[in-house]
Amino acid sequence: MAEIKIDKQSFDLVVVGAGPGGYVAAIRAAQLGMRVALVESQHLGGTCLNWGCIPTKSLLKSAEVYQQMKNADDYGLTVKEPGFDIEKIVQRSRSTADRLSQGIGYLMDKNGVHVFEGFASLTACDAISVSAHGATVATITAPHIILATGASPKMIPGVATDSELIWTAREAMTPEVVPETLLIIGAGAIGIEFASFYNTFGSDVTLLEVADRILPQEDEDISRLAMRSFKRRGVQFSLGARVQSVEVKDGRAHATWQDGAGNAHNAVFDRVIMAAGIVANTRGLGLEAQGVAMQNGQVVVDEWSQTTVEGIYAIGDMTAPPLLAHKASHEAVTCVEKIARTDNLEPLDPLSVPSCIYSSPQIASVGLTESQAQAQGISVRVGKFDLGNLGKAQAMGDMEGFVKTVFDADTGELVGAHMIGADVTELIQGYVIARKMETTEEELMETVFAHPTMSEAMHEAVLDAYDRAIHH
Amino acid sequence: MSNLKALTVPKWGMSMEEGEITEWRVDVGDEVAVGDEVVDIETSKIINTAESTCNGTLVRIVAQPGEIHRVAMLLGVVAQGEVTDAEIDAFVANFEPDAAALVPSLVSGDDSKPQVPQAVSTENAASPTTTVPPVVEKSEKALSDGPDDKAVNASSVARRIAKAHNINLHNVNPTGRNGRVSKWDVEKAAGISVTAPVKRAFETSQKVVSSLDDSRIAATPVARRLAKKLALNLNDIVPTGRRNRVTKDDVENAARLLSGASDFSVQKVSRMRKVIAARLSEAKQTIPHYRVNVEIDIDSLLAQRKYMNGELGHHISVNDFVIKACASALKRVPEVNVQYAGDTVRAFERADISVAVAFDGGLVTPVIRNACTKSLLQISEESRDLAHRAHSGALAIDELQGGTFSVSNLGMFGVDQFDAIINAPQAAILAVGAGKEKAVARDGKLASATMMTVSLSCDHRVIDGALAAKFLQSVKGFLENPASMLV
Repeated sequence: MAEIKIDKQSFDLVVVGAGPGGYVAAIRAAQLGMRVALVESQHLGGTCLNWGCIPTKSLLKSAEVYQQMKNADDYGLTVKEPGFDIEKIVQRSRSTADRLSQGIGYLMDKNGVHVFEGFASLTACDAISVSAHGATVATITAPHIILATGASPKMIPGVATDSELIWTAREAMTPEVVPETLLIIGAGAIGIEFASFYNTFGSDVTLLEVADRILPQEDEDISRLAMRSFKRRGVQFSLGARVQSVEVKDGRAHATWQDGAGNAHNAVFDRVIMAAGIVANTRGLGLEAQGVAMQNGQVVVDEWSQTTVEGIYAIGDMTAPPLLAHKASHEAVTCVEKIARTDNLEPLDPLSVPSCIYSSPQIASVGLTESQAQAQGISVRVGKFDLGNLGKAQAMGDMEGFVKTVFDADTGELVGAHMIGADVTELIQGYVIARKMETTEEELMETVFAHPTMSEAMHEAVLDAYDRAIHH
Repeated sequence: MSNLKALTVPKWGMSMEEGEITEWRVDVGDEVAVGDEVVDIETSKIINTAESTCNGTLVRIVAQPGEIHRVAMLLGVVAQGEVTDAEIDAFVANFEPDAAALVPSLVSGDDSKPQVPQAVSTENAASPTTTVPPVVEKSEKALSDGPDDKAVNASSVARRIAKAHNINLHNVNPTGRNGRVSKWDVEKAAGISVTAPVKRAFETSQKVVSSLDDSRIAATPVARRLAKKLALNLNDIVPTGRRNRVTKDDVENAARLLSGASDFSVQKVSRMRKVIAARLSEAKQTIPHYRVNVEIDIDSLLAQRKYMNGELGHHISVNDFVIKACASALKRVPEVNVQYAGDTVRAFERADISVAVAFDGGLVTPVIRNACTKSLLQISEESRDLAHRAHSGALAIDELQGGTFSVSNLGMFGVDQFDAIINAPQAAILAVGAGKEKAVARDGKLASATMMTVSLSCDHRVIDGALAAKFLQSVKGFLENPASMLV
């Protein structure tokens, strides 16, 4: 009879979860000379690499190329019968994810991070046990524990759980066929990206959103243009929608909901995607027993990611929004450096975290929306510049979209920037740097923007806030 | 309408043009008689009480506390017999200041010389700028308890408020002039909010900020703009940003600290403080100052003084010797007894010495006229009288004007040496430190001597360095050989 061997080790730091929060924390800690353990129950790289950011970007690139093939004639090109193979599209996406996940394994080796496979559970404020296949395989002690277990799709009462027909993001990014009719519940970033993808490949997409506009986190002008753009491409919307039920009958999903005007809807779809938000993965971690406080399903942390228990930290999607991979990575570095007592640390400013959506058109933003700024009593100066006025946009055939800037009229601070259009996710970083450097409109006006580029719209949007736009 | 009489802003001294109404001592409906004190008025130099020039009933207060009114303008209206509101309105509307306003109209007595009330107490400098002593704890007894308070010295307004709040005036800590209970005192006792409201965050007035150039202080552009908007100086802000840059957060924190989140109160600046601020700023900025120091051996002086004060029973201070020495030196080096006036230079015959007198909340410079013709004893008595009355706010404006040279002495506070700002339009001021026993070399041997350092600040536009040195040598000579001042 084989003996159960329990690995007992102690480290300077244990990181639970190997997503963009956890693995970055592990690397940074190793760089600072700590002995680090990393516990992961599934795949190195977490949701982001395996089931989120990266594989969906691969899918959306396929959609973008396909769309361009369909528009080939606009560019004077001839493509005979553009077509696609969904299996190959998914395969490309998976191999990209797998390659990156292996890359994380390589980085862990390189940095001497000890990786444990299994579920972690706190057994004391400085100890965790790791279990796999129902048995404890290791007990680890460390004076510092960083929790970075991320989040999972939120389910809605009344919606059946059936991974065949009712998908979460994970199933939605590995389809075997493209559904003819598709219901997407939730018009946030995830819902919009899938709507964009499936619409391009021919699905008849209906989007339900509980708020009174799509992309409720974004500036109103962005929501308005995005909605118009998607509508033009045949996506249907129901706003203020409250889902009553989604049932599986005869191999199809029967959905009922009430829209904002009070009208009852009843429709049948081939597939349903749940994109109504995410909930922190905290079950089984033993948080309550150790006294780690939670609020609204999120772990309560201070500005340095410390939970209510000394020595236990939480970063990324387990904590407060924005729920974004790069926010988790940044918190990871700050948290580890705080543990290492590095000087001159600055806590993360949520208003300087950019947000990107890779639909077509793309959407990117940072800081406050115009109405949020006004609600805070800031007297604002707003600039807006349509991409269609740019030479580059016309040459590219990407004329839809705009760049909007929101300045504090008193201080010249760029309090927010909002963009929609081709490649804007690559442009937003310019404004993020401007915010971090606390530049005013003057420095941005004095900055030289290359011609011809889409970034010229960023310049013009700043000029427009002060009624100085050139190409208006 | 002959039964209506005007109370107007009196003119206390030649230079008085306007005054700020501090407090009314009588209220509408009160009987007033000629000579009754009716209203406190603060000028740039003194606070004084205007007296009634007529008999009757005060029927209207026109000038409200806090307002500034020019000489001869209407303060209030006194009526004899019954009058209607309409009549009073008409009287106020038709009022014209007296053409002969230069005559001190409200001050009683044979008005050839402005009269100031005699101070009862010299302990408290009783201007509104003084720090109010804490209210004596009287929590064990209700504010209404106590014997009949009719005899308590209080303003009519204070008395009326006290009555409305059922407060016995014996329980109110008086901080008014001459130990009088003021309206403010009663309000404070009654718990009525009297302090200035705490400034809202980011409000720009009343900040304690440096005036140094901050253009070279590293700051983010937003921080620089915000600091400018909030009238903050980047020199005053602790930087926490990368490479010691001042960030927006730093500016906001500084603004919060300065705006009431921290422990400080906002007080109104008195007229006197405003005048001091304006005059000294102007002098420091427009006059090219330079200083010349000299150490003076005062052992001989101290020995003389000991005899005068001991055997002869006088009260002569070291500063009296300094005043006398300066006056004597100005006679010997009259080129220092001048004023620069643009195209002309005023050269003075007489040495009128302004003596800086500090008291809580202010500073005045009463003048000892023609000091070189006065004996040490006369100077001593005069300077003591002036200092006393300066403390009680009872100096006439004319006693504060027209000096040709100033002396400022901080020796009594143990200060070794300091530099003074010239008392414009004068051209020089002597700053006097404390006499201290020091080791000195004398004939190649160590000896002990009481040394006093004086610093002469000069206006370089009219007094050059060599001249200043010559003058200072003269002062030193007189002080080291006190008997020579008799010559």
